[in-house]
Amino acid sequence: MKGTQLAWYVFALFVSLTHALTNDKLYKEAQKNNGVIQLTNTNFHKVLGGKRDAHVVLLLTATNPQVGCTLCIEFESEFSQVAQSWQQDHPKGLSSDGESGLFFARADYEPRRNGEVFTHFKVNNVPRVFVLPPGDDMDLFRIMNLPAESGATRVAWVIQSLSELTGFNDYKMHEPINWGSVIITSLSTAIVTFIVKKNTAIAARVITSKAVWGVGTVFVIVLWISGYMFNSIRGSQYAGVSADGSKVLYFLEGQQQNQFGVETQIVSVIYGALIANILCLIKFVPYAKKFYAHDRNGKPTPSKAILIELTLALTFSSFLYLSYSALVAVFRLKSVGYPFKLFKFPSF
Amino acid sequence: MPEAKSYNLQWLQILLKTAIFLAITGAAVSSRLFSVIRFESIIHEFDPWFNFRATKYLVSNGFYKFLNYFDDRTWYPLGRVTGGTLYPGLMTTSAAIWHALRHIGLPIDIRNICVLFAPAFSGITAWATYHFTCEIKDSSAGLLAAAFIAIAPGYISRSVAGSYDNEAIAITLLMVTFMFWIKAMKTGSIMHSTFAALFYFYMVSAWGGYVFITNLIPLHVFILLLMGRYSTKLYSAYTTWYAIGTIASMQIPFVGFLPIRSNDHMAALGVFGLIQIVALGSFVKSQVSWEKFKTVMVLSLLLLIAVGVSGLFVLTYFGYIAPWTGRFYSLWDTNYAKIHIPIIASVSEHQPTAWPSFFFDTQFLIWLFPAGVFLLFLELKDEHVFVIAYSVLCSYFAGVMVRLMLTLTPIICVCAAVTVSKLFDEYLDFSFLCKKGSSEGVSLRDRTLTFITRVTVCGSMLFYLYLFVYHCTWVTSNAYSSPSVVLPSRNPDGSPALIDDFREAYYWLRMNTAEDAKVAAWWDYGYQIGGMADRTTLVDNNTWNNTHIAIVGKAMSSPQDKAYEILKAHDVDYVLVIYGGLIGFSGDDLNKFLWMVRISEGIWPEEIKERDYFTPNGEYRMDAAASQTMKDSLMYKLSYYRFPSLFNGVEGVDRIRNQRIRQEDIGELDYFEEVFTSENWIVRLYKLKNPDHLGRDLRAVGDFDRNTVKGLKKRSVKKPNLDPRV
Repeated sequence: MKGTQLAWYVFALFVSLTHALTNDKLYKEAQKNNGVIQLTNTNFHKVLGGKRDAHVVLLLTATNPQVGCTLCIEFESEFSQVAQSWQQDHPKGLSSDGESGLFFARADYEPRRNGEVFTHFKVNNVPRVFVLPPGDDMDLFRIMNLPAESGATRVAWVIQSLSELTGFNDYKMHEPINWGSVIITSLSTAIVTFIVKKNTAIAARVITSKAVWGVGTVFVIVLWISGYMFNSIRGSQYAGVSADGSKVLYFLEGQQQNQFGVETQIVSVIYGALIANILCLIKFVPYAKKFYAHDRNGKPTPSKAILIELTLALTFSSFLYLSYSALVAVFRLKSVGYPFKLFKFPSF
Repeated sequence: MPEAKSYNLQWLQILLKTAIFLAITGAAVSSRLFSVIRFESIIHEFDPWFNFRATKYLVSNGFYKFLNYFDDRTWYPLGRVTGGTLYPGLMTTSAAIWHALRHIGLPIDIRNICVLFAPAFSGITAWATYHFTCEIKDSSAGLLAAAFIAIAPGYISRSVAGSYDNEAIAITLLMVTFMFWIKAMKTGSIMHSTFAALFYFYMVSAWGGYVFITNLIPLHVFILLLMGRYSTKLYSAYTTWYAIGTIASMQIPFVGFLPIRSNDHMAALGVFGLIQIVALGSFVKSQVSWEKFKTVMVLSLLLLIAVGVSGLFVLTYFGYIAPWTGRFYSLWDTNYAKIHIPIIASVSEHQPTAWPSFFFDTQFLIWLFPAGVFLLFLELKDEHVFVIAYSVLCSYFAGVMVRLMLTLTPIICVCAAVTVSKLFDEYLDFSFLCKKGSSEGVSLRDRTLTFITRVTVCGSMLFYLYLFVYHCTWVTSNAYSSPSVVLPSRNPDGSPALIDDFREAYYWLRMNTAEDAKVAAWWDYGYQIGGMADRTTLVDNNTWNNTHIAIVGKAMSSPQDKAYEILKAHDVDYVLVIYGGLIGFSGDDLNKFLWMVRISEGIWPEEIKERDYFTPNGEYRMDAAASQTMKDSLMYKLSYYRFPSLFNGVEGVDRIRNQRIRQEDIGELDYFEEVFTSENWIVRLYKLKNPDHLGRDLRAVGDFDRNTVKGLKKRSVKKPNLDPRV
């Protein structure tokens, strides 16, 4: 056994002299860094130049916040998902027939450490994904375009085009398991079960309470009618930035068929205020009036009750009016030329 | 509104109610007439044109021929079994109205009946909503709800005059069915539940959305059972409705055996089974002791669950029951349509709803609606459970799909009416002003204060109602009253103008082409070509055959020589494209082009690739930077052919995409010849050239002709420049 192993090492050494880096070496290089080879000024000729049997996917990026490349930061986790999807089915990075392979490399812009990589590939905008086919020419590559949609769509797209470019048909996308969410979910379920077990009577009262169900239902309905499903289907941006980058935009102005994620929050808060006020007018004001109709000794105090009714009703009505004015004002931002308005807010 | 005691007052109440109803119906109908007044009595949009054509067929050929109607003028060369694949409710209703009016001596053109159909039925919807809300709260809420539904833009959007679509009648039937259902489950009356079943049948015959009722009523019953509110009333109402409704709905040819096979209908069947078991259980419970009953219950429950689940699996496995239909499934898994059925995802009606649409369609009702749901929760009678289930389900559906705003609107109106009428119940009582010198000794100050309170609250609510009416009128008049066949526009001096390109082009087709000419166009225009130009189309808005649509998509995305082959193989004579770049019409074919590519990519992934149509940077462009595949595609060439000649002959400006289109990118058109372009260039018609009589391919012919012309020019240049000899 030892003899053969030794022979292998000698052979490997020999091979490594003639070829720059074998698949095995690439694999070892990749293992140092979570499966993605980190390129530097010193190693990039060695890794990419010379004869390779494997495809290399190279990401040139700049995740340093000072550079201000949001796309780079966004793409970072997606790229590692692309790499892990391959490695999950191909632990050694080799293709199913063992002849070829696919390895991932990246360089995160740091002028001193890896500036030469960027100059070599003449990169003037990041992130850039290069696909280098097997062979010995590192200047033979294809640049991959990244679609604008982020998240799983982009990962699927990249994997799809990689499998087309490399001809590996068994390249499948794998969703990483979000352990954090699994732990939180199981922990909270355990805690809730525990609490319910301890206080069965209270839990039963909560579950059968009309008000709890009512509030829950109204909450869900408000969420849905303020465009929550739109955000989750379209994956809308949370908020925007004005053209010169100086201001945060909360509304996609003038677009009735489109919205930012934050609009749902703003609008649902306004809806919430409106609903609370009208419910107070209908339910709370008569209740308060009845409550103050008699003093502690049971003597009728109609004047007090009427005064209370007046104050509360006027307060809730004016809050209702203000909230409704806010809603209309917000809608006027979205719908150009909407002719109606209520109270004019100084800030709009 | 409490019933008055005195006889005279009762009459006054009836008189007032009638007057209010007349006013509501008047408002409902008249606010839907904007389009007729502004444009003319014309059928709108796309689908109504098919319904109109089918109605004309029904009126002239009779009912039995209509049921066997095979249309060989669409989906060429396949044809369409129209009689068996449509919901006949709409057409039969308008034909019945037509016949009835003729019998009483009022012969009216069938077109006018079709155009005014939706406004007329909106009046009935208001009436049904009134009765529905009366059951939920009382008649004052009912009147408010009727008034709301009459003018709410969310419903008007699908029921303006000319919008002769299934939804026009479906919402009416929906509300009538629900009204009878609520009456039935409250009283246990077999008559009411039979009516509910009959109107359910009518609904099934009119709209595919009947599945909503099929699932909502069982859901209502199921929730009531879970809440332990089983009663014999519920039992008789549901079993009657289910038995009659299901058997009746199976009489519609298009529905057939779906109600016992498709999973969409399984919930209704399951609840039908469940209520039998619950009924048996409650009978047993009344006969034996609690201990014995418990054992019986546990055992039978286990048995039932085991049998039910395994039975479902086996039936699905052997294919006796079908899986969910795609359209329905796409409601739950929001990514489903995008991935599996691009043809559904391509329809703008199927897009998710952003919040402004909700406000736009219902204005202040949208925030009264959740408040109403909460108020109903506080009472939570059996019928309130129905409204709550309806509200929750439909808010979700409306959020996922814009067009389902339509089914949400009625319940928004009902819940909002409940809120407003509860507010009025508290504050609109001014009777204390009349009780002068009553024994309670209410002082003048107290009376004034109460008066101020009530006037403020009621006044502000009345003001909001007033604003709502203005909002509805504004929205209806601005957004929902365009027939989209004729487009409103303005001249440079601001005076209104009409863009009538579609009818111009369709009329040209009708008058200038052979009667059996086949026209290839994207499916959006299939019904219009069939209805207005009366020419045979390859694909239309019915979209029953995805492959056939993909063929047209492939032709449009291929280079002209390949496209010519494909189109010739399908006997096509003319190609019609919609181009909005000159006038600024954004719904043109180039903006839909990616869907054509996507749909054909789904069938021929090797030949058509979406990515090839983007620039290397992933942009969708038409100017010099456009990809070569894009520039070669038939759609590009047909849209822009001769376009730069309107400008300087070198470069044209596309006003929709704000891009400069160069003549050299458009190139030559060798296989097609332009035969007609409408006034504003919206519709462009091309004829497929005949094959060359010498057997050359058409590109060679084109090259040859061009060379000859060039040669002529050269020769003319080479003319010796002779100076006069002196």
